[in-house]
Amino acid sequence: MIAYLAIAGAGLSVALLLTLVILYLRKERDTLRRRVERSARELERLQRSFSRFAPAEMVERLIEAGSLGSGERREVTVMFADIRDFTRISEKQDPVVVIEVLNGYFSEMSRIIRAHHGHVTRIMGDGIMSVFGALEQNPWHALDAVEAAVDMKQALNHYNEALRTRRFPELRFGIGIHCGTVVAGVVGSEELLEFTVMGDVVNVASRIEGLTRQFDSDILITNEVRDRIGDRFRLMEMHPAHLKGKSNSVTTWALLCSDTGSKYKNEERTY
Amino acid sequence: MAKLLQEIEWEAPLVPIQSPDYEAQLSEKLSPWLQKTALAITGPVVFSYADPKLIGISQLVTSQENACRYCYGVERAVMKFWGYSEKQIRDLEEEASLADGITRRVVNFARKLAKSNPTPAKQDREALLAEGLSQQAVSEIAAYVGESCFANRMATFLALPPNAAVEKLSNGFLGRLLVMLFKKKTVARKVPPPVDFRNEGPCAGIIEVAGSTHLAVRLREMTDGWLASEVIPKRSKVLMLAVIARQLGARYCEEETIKVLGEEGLSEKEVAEILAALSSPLLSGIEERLLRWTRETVWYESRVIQNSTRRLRDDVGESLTLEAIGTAAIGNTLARLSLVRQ
Repeated sequence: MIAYLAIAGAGLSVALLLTLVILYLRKERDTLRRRVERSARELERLQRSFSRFAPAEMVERLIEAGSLGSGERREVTVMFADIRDFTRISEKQDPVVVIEVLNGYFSEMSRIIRAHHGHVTRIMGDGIMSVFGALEQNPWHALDAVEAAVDMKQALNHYNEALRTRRFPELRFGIGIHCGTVVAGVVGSEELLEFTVMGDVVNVASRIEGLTRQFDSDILITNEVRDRIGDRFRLMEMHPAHLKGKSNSVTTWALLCSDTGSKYKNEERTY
Repeated sequence: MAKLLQEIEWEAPLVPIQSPDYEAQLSEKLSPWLQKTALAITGPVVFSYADPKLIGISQLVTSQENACRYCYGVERAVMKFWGYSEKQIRDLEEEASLADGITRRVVNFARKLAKSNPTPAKQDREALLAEGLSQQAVSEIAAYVGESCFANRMATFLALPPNAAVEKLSNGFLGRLLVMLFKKKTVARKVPPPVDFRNEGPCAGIIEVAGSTHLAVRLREMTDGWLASEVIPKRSKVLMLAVIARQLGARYCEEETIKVLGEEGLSEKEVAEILAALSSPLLSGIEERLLRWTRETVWYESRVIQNSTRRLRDDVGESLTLEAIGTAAIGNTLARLSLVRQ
């Protein structure tokens, strides 16, 4: 009898011990799962906040690489768009309305740039710097940039119609486009990181945008861009101009597009 | 990170058909080669060398990578029929807890090949061989990834309504039980390798990547049927393939297209001019329109390409659009497979 009780007691103890071990392991597993889920949420939050400074593809690549990645040389097209006389316009308007108008403009222009495979790398006051072909193989980066510029012009016309109803002065911009090899990568500190491109191409594109005032033209492209876009667009050659920091003068081309947005020479749809 | 099933945004079908038998009705609108291909790829998995589970895994992650709501849902269901739990499928989707080396390598290889950005490296293929897979098994898996890319593009560009019946069946006990009973007949079939297969004609070097498998035979038939179809002129179709190859940086495939286009009367210089700007006085209006749409088919957001395809249909009509979808689908398959040998 005693032996039976002892065996039963031992059996119960083992069963109890096993139950406790199982419960403990389950608890540990749940804790681990919660930790993993928390980490995933944290990563997602980081990804979301970082996405504001770098394109989603770059964030993904950086996460996959497990580091901030190193810079790389890429052939890209850089576009600068700047609203003319916006400082003067904004001084006479309600600041709340000014910010609202500016944000509406940025939102529309960014949407168009994304739709043409580009991405905005920087917003400076009322200016937008965008790059085409920096993140993925894109043999048509120059073409994309020019088409984006034409669509931006058309979108600005629509936006101005909306502004007129609000009695806000009409906006006009200048766009400069240039292409070539740049160094692309993520720069900054732990507090602020941004994906950017660096090199002479960026400076030239910025200065070409400056020339739009001088030539009273909305969209100017360089010879390098012209050579890459075929004969699809109506272009007008401008006088060679000197750019700051450049020894030789630069020839630019004004893109002629009507307000209806017809940019192609050939729009028929037949074989 | 590729999207999960519930995160994929999906538009209404491109071809509006009010019928419970949507796919059969749609099939009638396709040209013969597409009808035949659709029938073949929706049949059971036919394999000679690779473990069918690895093929299933590669198809699942390829559909996920291509964000095809239709195929992804079906592939998930197939995995459940094969006995995979929801958790195991989630692990594959999120690449978590993949302790098994072969599974991890296959998932990695399939994702890279499906995305091709960056181009899959030689070592990804060698890693599979190092795990003990035979050369032919790797070829078979690569071919199935290629075929999934085809199916994914067809289903996505057509915005096929998700197959609710199959998805629901896989979630129910009775459904799974029924499928388990007929699993061998419905899901995978081991067959001896093909004999007397002659891979001759355009793109033979690319199809070679699929080895001597039944998928290689199917790819050969698909390619020949596609080139023989007269809905879109051969020249335009091969130019579409050239655009995909250029976008992917698939040099071998681009060289192949230059050869075929030479036979169609376009010199290498003329092809280079067309590909440089996707426009040329040599192109007709429709050709320019098709080439510009084609470049969007390489990497895309599902909803964006679905809307873009809708605009193409409005511009060139339904019949040409359906053939263009087939062309972009096979073009992406061939160009991606060519990257394996590059």
